[in-house]
Amino acid sequence: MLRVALGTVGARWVSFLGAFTAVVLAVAQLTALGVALSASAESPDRPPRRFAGAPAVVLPVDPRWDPARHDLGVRSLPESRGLPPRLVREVSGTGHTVVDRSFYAQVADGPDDQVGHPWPVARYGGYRLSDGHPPRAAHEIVVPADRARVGAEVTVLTAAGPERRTVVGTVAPVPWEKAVFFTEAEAARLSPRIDALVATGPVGRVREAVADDAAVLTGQDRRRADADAGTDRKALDNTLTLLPVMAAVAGTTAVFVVASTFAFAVVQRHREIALLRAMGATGRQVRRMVRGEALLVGCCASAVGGLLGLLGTGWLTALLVALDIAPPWFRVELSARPQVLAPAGAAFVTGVLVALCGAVGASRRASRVEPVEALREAAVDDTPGRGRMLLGGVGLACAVGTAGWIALMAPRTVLSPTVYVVSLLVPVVATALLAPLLVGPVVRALMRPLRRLPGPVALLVRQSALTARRRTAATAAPVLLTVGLALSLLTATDSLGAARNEGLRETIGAPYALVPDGTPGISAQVAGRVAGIDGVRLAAPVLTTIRLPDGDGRLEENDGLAVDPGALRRTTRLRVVGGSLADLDGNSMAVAERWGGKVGDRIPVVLADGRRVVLTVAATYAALPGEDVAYLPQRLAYTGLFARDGLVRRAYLALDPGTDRATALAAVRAAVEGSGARLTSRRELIATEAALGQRLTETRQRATGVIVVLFCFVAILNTLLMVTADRRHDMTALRMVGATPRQTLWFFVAESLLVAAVGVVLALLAFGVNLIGLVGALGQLFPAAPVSVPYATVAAVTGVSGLLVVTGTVVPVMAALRTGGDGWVR
Amino acid sequence: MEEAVRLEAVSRQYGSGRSAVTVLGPLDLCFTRGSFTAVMGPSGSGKSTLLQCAAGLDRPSAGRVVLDGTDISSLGETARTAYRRRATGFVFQAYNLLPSLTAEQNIALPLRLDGRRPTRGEIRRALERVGLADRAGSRPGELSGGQQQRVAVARALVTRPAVLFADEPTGALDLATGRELLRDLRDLVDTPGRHGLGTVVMVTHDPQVAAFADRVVFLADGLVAGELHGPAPEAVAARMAALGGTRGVAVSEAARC
Repeated sequence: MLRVALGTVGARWVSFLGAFTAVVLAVAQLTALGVALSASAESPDRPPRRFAGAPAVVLPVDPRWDPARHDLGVRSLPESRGLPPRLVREVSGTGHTVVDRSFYAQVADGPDDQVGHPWPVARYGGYRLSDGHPPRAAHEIVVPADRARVGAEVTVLTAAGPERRTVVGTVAPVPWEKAVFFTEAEAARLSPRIDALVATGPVGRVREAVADDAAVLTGQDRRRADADAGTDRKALDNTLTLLPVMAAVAGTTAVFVVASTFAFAVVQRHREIALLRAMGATGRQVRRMVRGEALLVGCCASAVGGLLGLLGTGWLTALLVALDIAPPWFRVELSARPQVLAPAGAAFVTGVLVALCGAVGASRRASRVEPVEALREAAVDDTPGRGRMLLGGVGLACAVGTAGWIALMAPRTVLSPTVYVVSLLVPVVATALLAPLLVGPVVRALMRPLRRLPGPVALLVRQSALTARRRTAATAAPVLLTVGLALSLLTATDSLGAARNEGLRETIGAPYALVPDGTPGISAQVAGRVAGIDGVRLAAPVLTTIRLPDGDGRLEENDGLAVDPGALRRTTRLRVVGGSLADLDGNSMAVAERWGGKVGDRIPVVLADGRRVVLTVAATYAALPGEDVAYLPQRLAYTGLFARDGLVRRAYLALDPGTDRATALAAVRAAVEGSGARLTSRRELIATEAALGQRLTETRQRATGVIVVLFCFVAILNTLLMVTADRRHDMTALRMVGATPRQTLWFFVAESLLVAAVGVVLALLAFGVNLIGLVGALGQLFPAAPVSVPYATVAAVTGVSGLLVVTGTVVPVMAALRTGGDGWVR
Repeated sequence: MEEAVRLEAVSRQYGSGRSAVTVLGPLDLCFTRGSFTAVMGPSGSGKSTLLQCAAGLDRPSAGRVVLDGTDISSLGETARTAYRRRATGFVFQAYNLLPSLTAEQNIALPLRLDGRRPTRGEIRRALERVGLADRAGSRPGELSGGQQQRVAVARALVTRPAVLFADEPTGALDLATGRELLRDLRDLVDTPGRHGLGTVVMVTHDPQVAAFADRVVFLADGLVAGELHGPAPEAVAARMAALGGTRGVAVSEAARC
């Protein structure tokens, strides 16, 4: 039978070209995504830098800490606590040691990623003074030569506030950090945490002294102590979470398109298969033949797709970098190594399997073709059978079930791009399965207003689409997939963003805010200065990390905001569920309701510096998703220096009644001048916050959308070319009854547009189901759930789909008409 | 064992319940070995259905079909297909070659489907018999209508079937080509092959074509309406004209051979 399959593939290449193209594209996508994914799992291989000159570095680490499973910027407990002084003393017994600290220190008007270190550690990173002398007094600093010249007086922003300092020396700039060096004592004052310790004694003895309390790094391992090792990893973790989503969506779409293409190829060859059956082919032989064809097409197409995918990897990484999903240095080296070959091989096998799976349903249907059907003239489409009803019913149940489950039981699903994007596919695929059943009613409804048109086209188009239901459904499927996915995905993203904005607007009660201005945050000292102005109430929460027992004896880390309770009450409108914010004092906190604590509970809390305190729950509140934090006493603000950088991310500002607005605001502006903070309004704050918070999710979903929609566009064109090229018989019949070439063309275009409209209607149906889940989930998560449909984008996607449908029709019809008369009469 | 095909109380209905339509029978009929029978009747008289049921392409709703000594109506779909492709050959009016395969490959197809490896001689002899030895490598698109139909006949005969069924085999051919094809079929019956006498059952509506047969069976409304032996075209035409008014004869009349 393989020989027959081979012959058929050769002769009916148009219908196989469709399936071939679908597999090629799918495998190309999967290869590119897979290779990029496996490349992103590798750490960039760079030499150690900051400690390149140190024989050994002692680093506080938690061996079980996986940064990918924690929020961005959160340190493990040992890291945030730093090396304990006891350990430093013990290691110094083995030989000369140098303490390293890394902290926020920004020479004003310079970039916001400058970092402070004590001067003695500089030499291990290869720094040499190019001018001046080392810092000796607290106000003296050494900076790279491109920042300032020796003798310059500069303002340096740190967690302790802006201070005037003198540049006493310069070093050659390096590409891997923008350092500001202080005296050892000043560095210790600014940052109490010891980040690392250079040990020059015998490594064996150092290890002995350290034991299991920290890691001793030598050789290439010293790379782990570099600041950008962490950021590299984190930047890649973003990519790492996104790529599987893209691969999942791309994979599902591919299976779907390939399956429908194969199914359609069988519909087209109905007569031929019936003839084979009449010749004496058994059902099993026909099944084998269709599978043989699929295997043949699958293997060739997967090979081509794999090659294309490898070539396309560069394009994909460029896209990922351009969309800011991958760090700018992200590259994939194409060479024959397992990291490239394994995903490429997996994509190849997937392609072949997808082709075979896609052909399973088709081959089953083919084997049921009756031999007598070869003898009947008209290709009247079979009405959908019981199996289709069952399959469609199950699909519908799954779709409604998923939407209902998200709406009622698991609203937080909409916050996780990974799961949610895939769950959005369920109703779309279910609708596609139901399509042959829905085509009839949808076509009738769409054509109802056109019934009274005088010309024959409306009637012809309606009957043609109704008679060949399976063809109509197969042609509408890629349009359904494209529009349905785009609509569902983009609406979900936009609505989520809108709900988040709405929630933020509800929460912030203050009319003004202080926000960082060219800096990563505002220092508590500046905030204090503003709070001291007459009539001004300022809540300036310092971001820190606390660890609470999670019930299983483990500690769960959470964000904490150390803030003055009075100012908090005046400037925010938390939705308090239990207790009262008025009860907040130096030994209590307010926690998100979701964490499960009750008012009055006394909770042992581990602070970022490792200290343990017991705090009483004074209030619980309903937190917005992603905004659940503990409001802590202001006396714990210092732990921010251990957990993060000790800065205030945003401060809310309100004026006491009776205060002169203009005078007060002028005083505030004067107070923050040159301190890295800026006064802004609530509206502006929400706008910038929203833009920031949504960016990540949005780019992720957009990127997925872009890739999937591009693939779908090709699928639409592909299907239409395939379908129309096979309709010469109809073309002949039309021409024979006297249709002019123009009328013939118009008939085909009109029918294709009708089919596209059917696809759009079905897409709206699928979208409706997704909307149930979205609205329900947002309603539970946010105080208000506005649905925001990006009409312009969706209209553009639909428009392009329609254009492709027309192109896919006009090209083959024109070609057939041009060959004229006998060329297409068979 | 003189009967090549016997139909006993065979009927065929389409649809079910109240909307069921009986297009054939119930009828009894048999075709003897070494005979050339034409089945005639007006449009919708059930002649094609009769042929498809007799050939095992279609399954009767009731009754038995015994083909070359085997009751094929009791066989399952796969067994029936396997039996049918060995015992019968079928020639259709048109569209009966696979466009993707060459003449040679088309002819070899029934053997391949049966899991046999055709020898070159076997195929060449089949082609020679229909006078197309030089067109072995041509695809259907490169052959004339008559040549295509002769390839179809060669393909139907390559398994040396007990019965050859033909449904309007000359329908798409011009007069001269049609006559040649009918002479081929006639030869098949008159020249005994290695497996005994050939048997041909052919559906037609053309009295000229029917005159090539030994016997003509007339159908009307799915029932046998009479028959002629050693027919002349004029007699067939007269009988056909008369059929307009006559009803078919029910199963009560004895099986006709």
